[in-house]
Amino acid sequence: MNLLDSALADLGFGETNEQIATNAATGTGTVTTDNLTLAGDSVVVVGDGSSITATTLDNGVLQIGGTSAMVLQTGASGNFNVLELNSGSLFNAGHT
Amino acid sequence: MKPGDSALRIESGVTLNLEGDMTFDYGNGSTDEEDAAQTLNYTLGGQQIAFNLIIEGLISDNAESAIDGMLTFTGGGFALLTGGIEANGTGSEFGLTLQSGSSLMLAGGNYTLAEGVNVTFNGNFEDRENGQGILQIVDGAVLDTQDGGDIAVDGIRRHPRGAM
Repeated sequence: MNLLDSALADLGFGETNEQIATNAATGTGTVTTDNLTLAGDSVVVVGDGSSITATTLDNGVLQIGGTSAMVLQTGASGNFNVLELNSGSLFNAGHT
Repeated sequence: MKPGDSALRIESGVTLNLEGDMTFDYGNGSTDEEDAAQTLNYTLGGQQIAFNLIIEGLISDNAESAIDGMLTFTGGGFALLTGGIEANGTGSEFGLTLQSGSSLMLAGGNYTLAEGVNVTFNGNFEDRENGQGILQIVDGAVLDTQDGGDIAVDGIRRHPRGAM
C-alpha cells in the first residue's frame, strides 16, 4: 500500500501522515465480504498485493455512490460480480 | 473500555473474552499536541506509530454459543489491534463499527466479523488529513465478514477512508 502516492492527494492521501502505515514495510491486507458499499465522500484504497473479494463471486455487489472513490493500486485486486456505479469514480492509480 | 485521556495497552497473551457488545472509547478527538490524549508508540515494519489504545491479544467469544456482539470503536482517537477477532461458538458473531472520527488499524491476525463492518465519519477534510476516520488493514491482516456480512463505508461531509 502506498498512500503517499501523489495521485491520491485529492482524496486526502498523498502526504506524510504519522497515523498511516506506509508502503511495503507493512505488508498487505486481505478482505473478504459479501458486498461492499461506498457512500457519501468515502474512499477505499487497495494497495499492491492486497485484495478485496466477494465471499461468493457470483453474488457480490460493489456499490459506489455519493462522491466516493474506489482505488486499486497497481498489483491490487478487487473481485465482485456486480458493480453498481451510481456516482463517484473508479480508477486505477499506479505508484512508485 | 474507556481509557479517556490516558493510553492503554493490552499485551499479547491476554485474551479479551466478550459475551456481547463492547465499546472501545479512546482518544478525545483532538489532534493538537497540547490537547491530545496520551499515546503509546508501536513499531510496525520499521515505522513508529502512536496509538491511544493497543490490543495485542485476541478478542474472542471464548467459543461460547449465541454470542452476538458489536465492537464499537469511538472517541476520535487511534487504536491498533494485532491479535485478531474470532467467534467460534455456534451461532456466535461479532461485528465492527468505526465512528466519531476514530481510526483503527488491523495489523496481522485474522479478523472474523460475520455481523459486518460499518465505517462512518462526520468530520471534515482537515480531520481526515490528521488521520481521523481511517480503517487500515495492514501487515498481512485478513478481514472476513463471512457469508452474510457486508462492509459499508460512509461519510457525511468529507472522506472517511479505508485502506489495505
